[in-house]
Amino acid sequence: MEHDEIIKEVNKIFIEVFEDDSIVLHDNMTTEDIPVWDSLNHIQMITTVEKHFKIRFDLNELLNFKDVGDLCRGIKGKMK
Amino acid sequence: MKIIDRIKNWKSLNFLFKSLVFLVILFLLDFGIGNFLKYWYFKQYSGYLYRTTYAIDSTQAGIVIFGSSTANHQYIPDIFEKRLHISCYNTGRDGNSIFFHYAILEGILKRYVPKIVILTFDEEDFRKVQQSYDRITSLLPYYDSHPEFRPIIQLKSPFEKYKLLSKIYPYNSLIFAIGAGNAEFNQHREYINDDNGYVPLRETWKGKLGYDTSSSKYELDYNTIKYFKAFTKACFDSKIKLYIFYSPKYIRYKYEDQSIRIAKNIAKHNDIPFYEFTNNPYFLERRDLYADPGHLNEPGAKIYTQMVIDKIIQNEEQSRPTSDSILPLNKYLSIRK
Amino acid sequence: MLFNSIIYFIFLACSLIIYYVLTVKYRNYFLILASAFFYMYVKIEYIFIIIFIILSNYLIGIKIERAQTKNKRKQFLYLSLFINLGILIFFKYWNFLIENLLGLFRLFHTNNSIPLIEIALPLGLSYYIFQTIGYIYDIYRGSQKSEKNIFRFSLFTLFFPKLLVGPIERAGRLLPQLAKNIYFDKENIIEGGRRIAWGLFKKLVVADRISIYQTVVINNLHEQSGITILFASLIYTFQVYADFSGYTDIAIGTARLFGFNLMENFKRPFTAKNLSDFWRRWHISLSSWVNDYIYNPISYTRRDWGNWGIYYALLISFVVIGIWHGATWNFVLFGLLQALALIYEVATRKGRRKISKKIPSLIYNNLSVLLTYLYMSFSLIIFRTDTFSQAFDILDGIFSRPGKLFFDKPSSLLFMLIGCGIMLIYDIQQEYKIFRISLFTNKSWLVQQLSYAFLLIYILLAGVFDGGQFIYFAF
Repeated sequence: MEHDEIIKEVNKIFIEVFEDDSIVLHDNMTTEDIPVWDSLNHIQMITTVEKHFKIRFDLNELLNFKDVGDLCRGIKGKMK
Repeated sequence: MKIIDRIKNWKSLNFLFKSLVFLVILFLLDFGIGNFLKYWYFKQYSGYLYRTTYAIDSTQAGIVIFGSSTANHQYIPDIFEKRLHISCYNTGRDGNSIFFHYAILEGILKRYVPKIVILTFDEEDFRKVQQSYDRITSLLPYYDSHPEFRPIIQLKSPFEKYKLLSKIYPYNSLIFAIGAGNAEFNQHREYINDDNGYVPLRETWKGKLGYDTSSSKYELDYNTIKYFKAFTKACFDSKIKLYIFYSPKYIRYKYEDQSIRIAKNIAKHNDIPFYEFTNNPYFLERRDLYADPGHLNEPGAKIYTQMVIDKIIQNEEQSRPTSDSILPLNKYLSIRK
Repeated sequence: MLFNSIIYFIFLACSLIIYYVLTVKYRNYFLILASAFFYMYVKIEYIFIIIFIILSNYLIGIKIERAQTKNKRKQFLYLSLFINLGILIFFKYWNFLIENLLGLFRLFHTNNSIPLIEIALPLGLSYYIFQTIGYIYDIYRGSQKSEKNIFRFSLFTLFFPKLLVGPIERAGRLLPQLAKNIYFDKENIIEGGRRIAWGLFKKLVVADRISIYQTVVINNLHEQSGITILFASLIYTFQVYADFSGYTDIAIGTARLFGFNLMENFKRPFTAKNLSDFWRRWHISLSSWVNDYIYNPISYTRRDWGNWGIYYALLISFVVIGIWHGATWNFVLFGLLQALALIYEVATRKGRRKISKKIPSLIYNNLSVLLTYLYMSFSLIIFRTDTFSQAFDILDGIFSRPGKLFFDKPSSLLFMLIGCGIMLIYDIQQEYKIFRISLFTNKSWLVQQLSYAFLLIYILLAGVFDGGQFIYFAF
């Protein structure tokens, strides 16, 4: 899967988890840019992503995600 | 390059100019507002600030009472005047220490010599506490007009001289009090008599009798002892009869407090009468005479003032054969029951 | 050296002049010296503790980075944690631990004696230990390079504006700034000065004024009426905010004068609509630290537990935040109360969202802000007291004693209310921009200058200049 496709899929998950249809993701978006996204529901989003792509991140990877781009690159790395 | 340098210079000049403007604005505001507050402060005709100014600059009373809250709320000048036929003023001000009392005495002695001075003294008065120094703030408005206060004001902090470069600083936190002191309504409070300084307390204490069994040792403040001695010496030098009173408390003390012991010793050495009303059985049983454990209320103050006068008269009688009494004895003897 | 003392401002002015007179490459060395002097001014001995922490963590940081195996890295991480937490526990929690252990032994009727130690907590210890742990952990997980320059690393820990009460800085933010050459820039002087002015306003005009009232009420708790104790408890929240954020403003302002940007520690917490929002706005450098180094790792590893993993992570994180403030059970309870509220908020998130859609947003939002503030004020009753019974005394007083509101003079009340009012209006303006015209950021520089001049004049008129320590100092 290409980076653009991944980000589209992740976008769907964001809309579903954060219940906000208006979310349009870019690579350098962080929690600052999406008000409802915080450390409390972040983990829900991660588990949904993991289920969706059938992958499992390890702790260090999760801790080092700084923005949406990092997350998508992480997904791509895992799927190879 | 040169052009860039010029722009740089112009920019830093602009910065300097604006900083200068800011300082000028600040100075003008401070100077203007500060001087207005000064004018307003000394224009008051009622309130606790007015009473301090009155004590320093105006009173001519024969008996002057000094001390903190235990002086201000417990010694009623009217009763002194009635029984002793000498005018009386209460200069007591809440929360102040010997530094303040001494300064007021100095201010008064520059003008005239009272006949009798009463100083109240309480437990822990020689304890080292920052508050004794912080409260010197009360004297700041008089820094310019009373050079004799300056050494005392310097005790507060070595920077006080520089803080006083600000004209507002002496009136810090006072703006509302000064406003009230100038207000019409403040003059008509019926329970405070601005003419004699006394402020009655009107509450009645509901709590239990306190027990103090601590013989706690604390750090002594030698500055306060020094100024206490200076106070007694100033009275002695001006031939003022000084009385020291330790007033009633709704607390039973098991041990004698350090400060009291020291003060008593100093008094004894200098032949100054020192009267203790703490642990006095009468006052320990009369909770109704207290506003709080440390202060009598108005009815309490009335009874206590009578007792204080009794002590003074007693002392005068005893010392009559050896020295000339300062009281018009014939008059008061006839008034005594 | 208190930030609101004259001595501090003399120290600040002198070091600022020397700093900019020196050539660029010596400036940071000078800051190390000035910071060491600043720390030793309070008590000389404690400099040895901080030097030990700097040296050991400097070496461990490099070792972790160079370690070949994951196991080796872990060993060095544990060594650093052992040193840092060991020192923190020894100075801050020893007596608390021993007393509770002895209590436990007594339950089983065994007699043991472990000595208690009477030793003062080195100032700022909790702040710089947390900063150091963060640095080491960042290297361990690979998001930060270790600092090879020992002077730079020393200044990272010692930098005096943030040394005593934070903000708890992050390696990734502060170290790069320390590597740069800093040149004189008038913007830094102006912005730094303004920040310090606001800090002084919050500290001297608001916090210290309220503090005088608090002391009277708390010292005579049993004579005060319920409404008085309630009022005192409600404004205590403003006092803590003004005190701590005022202090932080002076810290950030000071750093700015020297050309450094410290992280923000408060973001208008009284506009928070719920507790999770509140903790993103309150003592941010601590709460985000706990978020990054405690909450996230725990909630990530427990993500298979669903919401229970989040609850578990919240409980641990907030107990740490609670006990970070000091070694009492009240601080633990304070943390638990925060965790409970946040757990409630996670559990009811969807439900609350539905409700909010049915109620006009103006009412819903204002009610939420009010409720958050009330819950925080309630928690702070436990926070401010040393024992449960003292906290209970306050609560009992609020509900059981009728009577009038106590104030010694109307002016004390006026000073408190005006101070709080200005502070809140300033915060609300920053958050919502309700007024079109802004005085402090006006387009005309003269209006700006006049506004700041009046701010300083008001501090002179209404500030409290004597006595008073910062509440957060003992932490």
